[in-house]
Amino acid sequence: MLNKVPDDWPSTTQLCSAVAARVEQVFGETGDRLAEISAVIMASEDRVLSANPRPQSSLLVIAACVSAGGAWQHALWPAVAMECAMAAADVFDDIADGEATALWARFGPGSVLIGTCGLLALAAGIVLRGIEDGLSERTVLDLGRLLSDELAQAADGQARSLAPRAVSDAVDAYEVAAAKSGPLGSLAARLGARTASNDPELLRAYGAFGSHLAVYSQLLNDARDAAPSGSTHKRDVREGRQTVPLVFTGSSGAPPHLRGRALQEWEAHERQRIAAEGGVLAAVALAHAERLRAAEVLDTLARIGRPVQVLRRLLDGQP
Amino acid sequence: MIPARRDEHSAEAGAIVDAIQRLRANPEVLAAARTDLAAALDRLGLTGTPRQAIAATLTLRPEAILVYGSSMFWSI
Repeated sequence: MLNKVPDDWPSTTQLCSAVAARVEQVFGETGDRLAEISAVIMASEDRVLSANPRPQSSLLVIAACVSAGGAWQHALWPAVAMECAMAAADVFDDIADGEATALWARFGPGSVLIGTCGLLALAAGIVLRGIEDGLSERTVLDLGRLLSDELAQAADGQARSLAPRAVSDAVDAYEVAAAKSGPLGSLAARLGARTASNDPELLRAYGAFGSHLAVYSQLLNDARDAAPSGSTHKRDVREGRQTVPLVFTGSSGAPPHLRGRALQEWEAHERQRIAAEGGVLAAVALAHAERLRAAEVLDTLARIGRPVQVLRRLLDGQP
Repeated sequence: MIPARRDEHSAEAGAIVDAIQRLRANPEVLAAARTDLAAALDRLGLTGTPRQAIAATLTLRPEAILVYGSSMFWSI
């Protein structure tokens, strides 16, 4: 029975529509320019207003709520807050990495930066709207505190990852990956669980699951971004980012004088070297360990009677 | 129920990184893993989560994981 998806669990399409409708409601109540920038952000990549939405972070909020014993509808505002906060975090990361080129070209750097700050500010208010769906004042205050605390932790981890020569070995690089992505996963799962329960042990368990899920994903992404088959739009290898596969193999970025075809050839060769010398394998092995830990938490939750099938599907990449 | 275990995880990360380095330095262990995975993991002195993680990594081809990873959650 515990392996069965709850009967009232809605389809992914229904969930995406419900979250998207509330995002649009918020933007309809927001200043024109901020709403325009925010809507473009939320319609890019696979975010909730895109043609093929995969709003995984808000699905995690809702799945954790249901697993902790709540009704999915009660987690909608926290899910919308998570979706906005996650999109803002993503854009800030793109800005830091010099990869926000499409937004830059459309709105200009200043507007993108201010607009993204606005989106984050909206998230802080959105989470409090849970009260409109019947959550108690105490609960929405806790949700607001969670949002602030975990986002601040993720920002600290991200700032650490961007500091020059902050990482001395692959274990350090793993710790940085965990510090910047773990709090975001923990936040999503805890927001959902807190809408249903205030049991601290239960909240800690859902937070641990979310953290391991996020670190697992982050490490796989870092592996993919360094692999020979990875997207060359990602600049990790060229810029010598401090990720596990690069640090493991001592890869520190392209020589600054390389341009055009010479740079492409250097990068293709470097990606082959990183894979051949075990960098990709190291990141994948560390990711497996995070996945095992996430599965262990789900087993613990299942043993105490919590339905975890939807969370297991998220871990298996089957939302 | 779930204690704070970040130090433990870092120690396990160290064991995993060390195992990958030793596999690279000793290709005969990697070759042996294809026929007797448990014996190869024993030679690396692995237990617990690092053992399971290395076993999964050697069993599944990383390329397959990374294609699967194209739809992953978090990329910050």
